[in-house]
Amino acid sequence: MSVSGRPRSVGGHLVRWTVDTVGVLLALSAGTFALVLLARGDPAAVLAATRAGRPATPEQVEAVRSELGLDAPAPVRYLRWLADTSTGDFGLSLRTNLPIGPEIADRLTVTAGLVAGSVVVAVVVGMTVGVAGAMAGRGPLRGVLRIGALLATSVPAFWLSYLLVLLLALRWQLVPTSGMAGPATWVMPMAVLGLPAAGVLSRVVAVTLREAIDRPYVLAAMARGSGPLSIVLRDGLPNAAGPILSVAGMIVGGLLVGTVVVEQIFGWPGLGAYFVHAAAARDVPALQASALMLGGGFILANRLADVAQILVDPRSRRTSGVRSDATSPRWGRPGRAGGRHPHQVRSETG
Amino acid sequence: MLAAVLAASIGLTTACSADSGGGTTSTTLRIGLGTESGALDPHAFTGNFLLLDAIYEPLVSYGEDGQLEPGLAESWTVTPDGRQVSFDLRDDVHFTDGTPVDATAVKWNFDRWVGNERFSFFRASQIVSAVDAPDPDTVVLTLSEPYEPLLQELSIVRPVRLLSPQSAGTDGTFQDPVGTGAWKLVSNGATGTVLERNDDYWGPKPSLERLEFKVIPDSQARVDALTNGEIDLIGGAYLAPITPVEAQSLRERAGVRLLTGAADVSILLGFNPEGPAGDRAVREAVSRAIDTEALATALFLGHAEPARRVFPPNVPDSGTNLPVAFDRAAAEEVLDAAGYLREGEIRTRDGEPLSLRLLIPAAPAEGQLDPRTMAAAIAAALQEVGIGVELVPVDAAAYYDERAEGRYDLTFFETLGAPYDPSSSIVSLFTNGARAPLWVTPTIEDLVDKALFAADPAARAESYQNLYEAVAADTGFVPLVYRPRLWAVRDEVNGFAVPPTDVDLELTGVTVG
Amino acid sequence: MTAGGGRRKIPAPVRTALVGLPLVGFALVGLLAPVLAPADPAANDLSASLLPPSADHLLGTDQLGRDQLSRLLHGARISLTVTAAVLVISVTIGVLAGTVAGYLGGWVDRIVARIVDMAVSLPGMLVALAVIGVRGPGVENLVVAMSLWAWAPYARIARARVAGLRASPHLDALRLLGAGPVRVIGRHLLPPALAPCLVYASTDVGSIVLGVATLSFLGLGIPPPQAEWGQMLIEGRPYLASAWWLAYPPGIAITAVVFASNLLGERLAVGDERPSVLRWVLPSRLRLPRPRRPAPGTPATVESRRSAESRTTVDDDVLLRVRDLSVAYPRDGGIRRAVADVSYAVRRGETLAIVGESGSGKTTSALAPFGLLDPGALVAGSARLRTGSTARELIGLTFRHRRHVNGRQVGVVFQDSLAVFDPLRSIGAHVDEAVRNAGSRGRRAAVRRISEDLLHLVGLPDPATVAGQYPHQLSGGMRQRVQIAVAIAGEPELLVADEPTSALDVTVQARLLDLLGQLRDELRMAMVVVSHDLAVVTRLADAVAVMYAGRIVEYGPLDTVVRHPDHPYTRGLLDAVPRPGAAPGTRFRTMPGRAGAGPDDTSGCAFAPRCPIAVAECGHDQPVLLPVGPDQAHRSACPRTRAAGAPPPLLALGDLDGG
Repeated sequence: MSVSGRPRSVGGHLVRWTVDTVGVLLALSAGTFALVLLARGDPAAVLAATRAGRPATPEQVEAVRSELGLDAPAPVRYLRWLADTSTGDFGLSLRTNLPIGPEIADRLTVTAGLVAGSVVVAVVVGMTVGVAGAMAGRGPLRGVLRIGALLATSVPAFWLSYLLVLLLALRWQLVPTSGMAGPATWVMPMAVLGLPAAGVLSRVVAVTLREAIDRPYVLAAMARGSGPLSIVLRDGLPNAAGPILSVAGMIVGGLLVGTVVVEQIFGWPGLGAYFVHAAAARDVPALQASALMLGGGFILANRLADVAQILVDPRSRRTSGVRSDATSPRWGRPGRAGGRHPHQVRSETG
Repeated sequence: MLAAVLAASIGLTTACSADSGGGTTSTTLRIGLGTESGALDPHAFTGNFLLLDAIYEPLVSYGEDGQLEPGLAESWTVTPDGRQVSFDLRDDVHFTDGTPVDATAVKWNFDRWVGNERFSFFRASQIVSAVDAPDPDTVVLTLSEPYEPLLQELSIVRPVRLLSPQSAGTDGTFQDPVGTGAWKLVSNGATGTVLERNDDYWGPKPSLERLEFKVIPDSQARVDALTNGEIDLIGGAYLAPITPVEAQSLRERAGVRLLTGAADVSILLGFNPEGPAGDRAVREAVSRAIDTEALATALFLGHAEPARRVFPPNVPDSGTNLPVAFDRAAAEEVLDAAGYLREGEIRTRDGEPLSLRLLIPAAPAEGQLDPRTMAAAIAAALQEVGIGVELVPVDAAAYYDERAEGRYDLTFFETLGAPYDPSSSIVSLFTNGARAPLWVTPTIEDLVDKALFAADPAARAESYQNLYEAVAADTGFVPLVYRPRLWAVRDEVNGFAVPPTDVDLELTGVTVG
Repeated sequence: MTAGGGRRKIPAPVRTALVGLPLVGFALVGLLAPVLAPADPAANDLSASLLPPSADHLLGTDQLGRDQLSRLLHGARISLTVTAAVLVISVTIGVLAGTVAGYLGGWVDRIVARIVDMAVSLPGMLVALAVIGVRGPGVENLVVAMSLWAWAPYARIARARVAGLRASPHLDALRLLGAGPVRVIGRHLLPPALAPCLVYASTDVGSIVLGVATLSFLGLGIPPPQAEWGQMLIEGRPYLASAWWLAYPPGIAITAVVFASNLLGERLAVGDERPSVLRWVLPSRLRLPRPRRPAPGTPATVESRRSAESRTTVDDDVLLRVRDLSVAYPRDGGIRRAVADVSYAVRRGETLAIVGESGSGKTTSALAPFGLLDPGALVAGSARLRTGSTARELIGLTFRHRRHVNGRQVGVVFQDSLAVFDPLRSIGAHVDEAVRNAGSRGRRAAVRRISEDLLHLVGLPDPATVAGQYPHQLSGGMRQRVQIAVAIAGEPELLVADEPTSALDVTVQARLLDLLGQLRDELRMAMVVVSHDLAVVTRLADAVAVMYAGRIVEYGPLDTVVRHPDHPYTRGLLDAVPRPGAAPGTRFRTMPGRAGAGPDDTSGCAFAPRCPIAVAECGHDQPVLLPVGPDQAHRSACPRTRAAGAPPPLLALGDLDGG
């Protein structure tokens, strides 16, 4: 939806969405490729040293350089890299001299599982607290929920992990301290990732839902005799869906980024940990590959949230007629009308 | 909702409590592992030292205090001219796939690294000119020149240990980790490794049946897991390192014992002779300004001793203690005498401030003390006598490059530790062939050669002592501390002692419960 | 549960300032850290390592003997510096880029928009990590890395704001006057673009602080020996159980700053939250305090109450009896009544019309008994609805109980027919819901059939198609019919219609009124109709209540009030109308003077300023509704006309009935 407000069919929206998404992904790939150019040090020398087990001779370095095709000019290398990547060939890790592809595939499943579980935590807790917050009267409950949610988003993830480990694992012996074996070990990582996200989600839900039910059609629903929960679920949430979906997309993105910290602490061999190790070792091909995966996931999550907004509103399903934004005065696409909720972009930092 | 999740996980945890062992007798020992072990090829550089040590065996073993003991070779003789060594192989030993350990197999293994380009840093690889197998029980090595440390070097972990020739592919590439050791591999992955007892082992069989190594990258998490009973053993520099602070906290926790071994690595402060540290007076002053006793107490919480030699006393041929240098007044005097005058915070000479770049890696190496802490302490100490220090943390990958390029005035060095010392370390510390030496002058290089190729133990000891004294006379380095060797076990584990080196894991007499 | 009229609440701007105070404190501490810190944060004292808090070291010392409090304060300084640097850079770049793009429009705008979209889509933390991983740690690299992704949201906000302003006539005027683009952008576009950006920035503060701490955790943040909170947290971690003063203060500091930032940001973006329409908590039976004007307690008042009470026991036919209804809203720290002491009664099958100008309180009076008011409303008084043989008090009912009334005994038709439908639900969904609430459980198909019957009943052709359509696809008239269908789904005894025909076409109005009348007769409903339309009133009503400034000024059977209006206001309303053949939709005549006063604005009669027969006493004495003449049913609040006796008839009823 552009600011010019030309009416567009769903099909039109989707085409444009696809073009934009591909564009962003290409930009991401170019950016990660640019990392090579920015990096200090010589990737050929590093890989040669890894193979030899010690600093390599100049001949060895040259041999590696031609093997990796590092002599070609940058645009050629980029295109070659793009072609390779799209077939799943991510090259060799400078650190281990092994192909990156299979390693990433394994780690992807680990990270995907972690993110999925955290999303469940975030959605369940966030929606519950958010709906409760929207419906709470003027009493202390509303304040408590609000403060609790904001607090959850304010605690640094790694500090939260320390505290949770101290409490849940060491003091109360409820769960193991780390590792990835069995549901008991899922609790803390998913809590550390999911609870701050739940906080963000609950605030957005509470605020937008409250606005969404502050409408004449809610009064009409009350006049029809509907109960509060039914009104919230049937009239409130769908009308608040826009900003909520947008934030949900960002939350997933933020969770992906948060795995970088959580996997380190709890010892999950996932993409996030891989990314950090690659960054620390300046293993540029590995860094590129994992940045592409993580960044791509982040982008897709956000873009999917965007497109879901379009699909939710039946008014946009019409192929003709004016899409009347004026009828719902405060319902605007987030960010377009400058009404973007602060928390909607905040979760980027994870 | 969260309460329901918690309740469910409590239920699951208690259901899984059989996993946590502890309290009852068990034949499985659970060990923490800092990073996943790569492929366990004894002739490559990826596998974890201790796992390799458990699976594969050398001809010669490194015992307490550097004593060499028979390994897969029962005995050996060295010709008087020192240019041939013949090994009498132990009888009736087989790899776990049934292949006999005979001279052919040994020769096949040695041929993989002797004279090989990739192992050119390893002196033995260059010194051995021929490997012969005159009969199935004997292997003869011919050397291009006499090399006394050869036998000790044949006890290290890689690449000298024996892999079953049958286990490799037809083109000789490594496939399965098949060795002769007390343990054999069950599984190896990103979350850990499992070894089980080799019931056909020729030597004393371990009482334990199974070793489960769990990968826990975060050192604090390992300590927590140990305290919580999820694992039974952590420690060692290459297995699951414990920082001094964590060691201190382990002392206070119930159910675990902290064990310290004699130090075998020293941490040294080195100078770059190109630059302000080229001035002898500056080096003197630096060495006198640092109170290593206080450093050891504060940073290592009493687990480390201040260093007074290049190598810790337990290392063979480590020489004698140097005198304690700490004397702040003397440091100031030396600087004054050399013309570095103190007007403000930092001394100047001819208008140039005396400032030294202290290069450190930005992130601590696994389980080691954060070098930034020690650097901060040293910087503060030097600042007291008017020497300015600029801390330059560089990310780990760039650190070695910068060191090799000499972009520092001060930086930290470490010796390699048993069983590599002292011969491997003096090469890398005191010769120009090394990538980033500690201190080199022609005299010193000479002395290194003499020490390496000394004819007999007495001459060798004397040569080493001369070497140390020469370097000390130049004030070529400042010995800081001996790095502590820390291990921790749960109380249920019996019979565990700190192994002689950090690449060994002596588990034969260990039982649980 | 809310403040009564007396206690003043803290005004909103002050409360915002209070919420912002911690952040200001953080900034101050950061700036003044060198002054406030008791010791040099880098000063080692190895002999004093790991000391617990004491008089010398308020927060203890760390492993190197450094004073923890000083390190904490200097850590604030570093966080503040980095945050300020990143914010300045990103806000500047972002606002400039967004404003210029929004102003220029065209392809520049489109390109910038695409770039901004992409930049916002990129994961900020990963970008920062990658850049630092490649360039190495350090303060400059940190600031650059974080600014790289932080600028985009500001650009987006600024651009959206400016794009909205671009078409404003104000800007066109400026351009015509020859103002250059720089001036236009600089003086007229940047400031309004900046405002929402600053709101966002208040939350960004927290994000940046958190981001720096996380980067330090990963070893890529501010290098030591500089004291930085994230770094201190890592160093303190092994001491969580022992030297707690190392591990907890930095974590608390980070959390506090980020929390304050989030709180402020939310407050600025959202403002003061209005109370929720739906409340779990029992809406308190609010007792209004004594109104601001002195209470008269005149004998007449007392007498009228007593006589009204005696009526209750006699009149069993009354379906809804509202007595002394007052509704007030919080305003400017106090409360202000919109409706005062309104009483009316509706008998079974009877239609009461409540008429008046806009702002007279007629809608409020009609909807108040059923809890359908703005959530901030405070209601006092009584409204009893007859159910079976008992009467139920409606005011102060909880949601749970109200559901048994609304949608069953009572149906409501609202004024703005588009706004009262959920735009995302089909017509059928609305009617189905009403049917189900009315008690018809059952399968979807059965319920839908009933809904279609209802739609047919209200005169909609092809109910099945209509049921599948969405509110925006119907015309106004059709939507009103749907509303009626919804309202009668429960076969109510009472239908409340608020301006049912106001937004409609003339011809459509007539038909709708016919429908209402027809349904009323068929279903034998009582009705309360709120209107300012004379035709509506005369077509449907049996009784009329005329409201002015929140009070009923005249009340009585339709015939009587229309033929013999007593109160000057009523007379004024009816005066100019009687032109033979006046069409329906003819409004009451507008009189000179302004409406919109509230019942408490004066102590006397609110109509006095516009009244042709007002005298001095009218400004002081509170008017009371009293019978006009012997007929108890007809009452008026004007003492002067009552005294003067029955007024001459104004006109014949038939003249008004425009047909």
